[in-house]
Amino acid sequence: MKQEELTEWFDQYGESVLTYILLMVRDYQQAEDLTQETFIKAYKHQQQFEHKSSVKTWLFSIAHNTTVDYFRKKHPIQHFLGLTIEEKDYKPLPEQIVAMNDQTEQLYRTIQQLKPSHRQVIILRKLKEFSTAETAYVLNWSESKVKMTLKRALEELRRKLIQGGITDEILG
Amino acid sequence: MKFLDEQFRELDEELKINEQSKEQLKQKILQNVTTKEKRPIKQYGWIAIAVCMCFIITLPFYSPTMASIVGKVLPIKITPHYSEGQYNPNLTAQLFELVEQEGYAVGSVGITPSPYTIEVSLLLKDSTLKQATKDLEPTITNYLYENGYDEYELLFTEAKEVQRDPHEDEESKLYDEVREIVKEVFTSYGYAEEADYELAGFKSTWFSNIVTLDMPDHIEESDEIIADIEKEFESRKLDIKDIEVTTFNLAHRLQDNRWAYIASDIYNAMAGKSTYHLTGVSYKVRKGHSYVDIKTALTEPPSEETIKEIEAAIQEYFALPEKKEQLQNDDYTIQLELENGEPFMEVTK
Repeated sequence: MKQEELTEWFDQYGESVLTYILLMVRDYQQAEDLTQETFIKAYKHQQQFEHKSSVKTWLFSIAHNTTVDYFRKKHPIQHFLGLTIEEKDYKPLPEQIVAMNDQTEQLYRTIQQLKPSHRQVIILRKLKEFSTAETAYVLNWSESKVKMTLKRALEELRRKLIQGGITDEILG
Repeated sequence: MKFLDEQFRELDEELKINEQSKEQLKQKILQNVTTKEKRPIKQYGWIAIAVCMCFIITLPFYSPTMASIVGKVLPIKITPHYSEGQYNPNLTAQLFELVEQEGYAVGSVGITPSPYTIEVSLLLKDSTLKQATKDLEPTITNYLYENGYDEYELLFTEAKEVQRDPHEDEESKLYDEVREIVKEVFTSYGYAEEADYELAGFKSTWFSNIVTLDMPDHIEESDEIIADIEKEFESRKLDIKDIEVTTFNLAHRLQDNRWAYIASDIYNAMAGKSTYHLTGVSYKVRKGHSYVDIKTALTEPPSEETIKEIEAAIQEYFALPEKKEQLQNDDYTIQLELENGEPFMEVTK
C-alpha cells in the first residue's frame, strides 16, 4: 500500500474517525492517539481488508476495536461491567473543536454521559449514519442487537436530555 | 424524534476539528508509518522486551558488580507501567532507545533477575562487538548511574536476525481463525464483553492441533457454545483435533492480572539498586486477598529511614488516581522479606 492511499483515507475519514473516538473516550489527546493507532493498524493490515465492507466501515471497526482495547486496559472492571465513569469535572470543549451552538453542545455532552454500548450505537447509527448492517459489522454485534440497543439508547438519551432541561414537547 | 434526528445531523456537522490539528495528526501518522518502514527490525526487539518483562522468583544473590559506582541512590518512586492513557517506558525500553540514539541497531534488551543482569543484544553490520561495547558501555553505565542503578551486570551480545518458520506462519493463521470463531460464537450468545478477553489458546504438535478454551464460570450455555464452536471448525474444515475446556472465574482473573502489574511495578522500582538487594518477587490472589512477597538478599532489616521511604513510595503509588480506581476494593498484603524469608516490612489493607 502506498502512502498516498493512506493520505487519501485520512483525508476522507480521518475527522469522522477522530470525532467518533472523541465521543467515546472524552479526551481529545487520547482520541488523537487512538486515531493514529487506528490508521497505522489499517496501513499495516490492509492486506486483510477483504472488501466485504466499505473502507469507511472497515476503518470504523478498527477504531472500535482500538477503543475497546484502550478501555479494557484503562478500566478493566468498568469495561467488563459496561459501566460509565462519571466525569468529575465539567470539561470545556477541546480547543481543537470548531465552535458549537448551545443546543448541539448539550447533546454532545449528554451523549458522552451514556453508557459505552448506548453511546457507540447512537454515534454510529445517528451521527455517522451507518446502516443497521454496517453498525453490526463495526461493533461485531447481530443486527437485532443493534436495533434493540439503539431503541434503549435513544430512550436513555431522551431521559437525560429532559433531566438536563429540554422539555418533552420539544423532543416530540 | 424528528427534533432529535435534526440535532444529530447538526452535531455531526458541527463536530469539526480545526484544520491545523487535523494536519498535525495526519503528519504524525505519515511520519510514524515512514519510521516503521525504515526500521522493521525493531519489532524483534519489542518482542524480546515483552518476554523479558516477565519476572520470576529466583535464588538469592549478592553481586557487587559496578561497586565502583556507589553512593548515588535516588529516592524510590514507583511508576505504574500504564498511566494517564499511555504506557510508561520501563528500563528495557529506555535502554533500547538510548542504544538506538547512539546509532546501533538493537536486536533486544532484556533483564533477568538474580543477579540483576541487563543484556543488550545488537545487530552488528559495520562494527564489531568489541567496538560496540567500547562505544556503548560508558553511555549506558552513566545512564544507569543517573537513574540510581548500582547493582547489576551489563552484557553485550550479538543478535542474529530470526528467520520466520513457514510452519509457524501457517499455525499463526489457523490460530487467528480459531480466535475469530471463538469470539463470534461467544458474542452470538450475548457474551461480547467476555469475548474481548483472550479465551482461546492453541497447542500444536507435528500430528495435531488442539484448541484450549477458557470458559468463564458464570456462563450457563457453555455446552452449547462449545458445540457451536466445534460445528464452526468442522464447517470451515479447520485442522483441529480437539477442544480442551477449563473454567475460570473472571473477577478472580482480573484481580490476578492487575496484581501482576502492581507487583511488577514495585519490583521494578527497587531492582538493580544496592540499597534494597532485591532477588525476586512473587504474588498470588487467594479468596479475594492479594499477596505480594518481595524477596531480598538482606540478612538484617535496612535502616528505619529506608523502610519508611519504601512504605511512603508504596502508599504514594496506591494513591495515584488511576491506581485507586483500578484497585476497587481489593484487600492486599505486601511484604518485604529478608534472605531467610522473615518479613521486615508490611503494607496491608
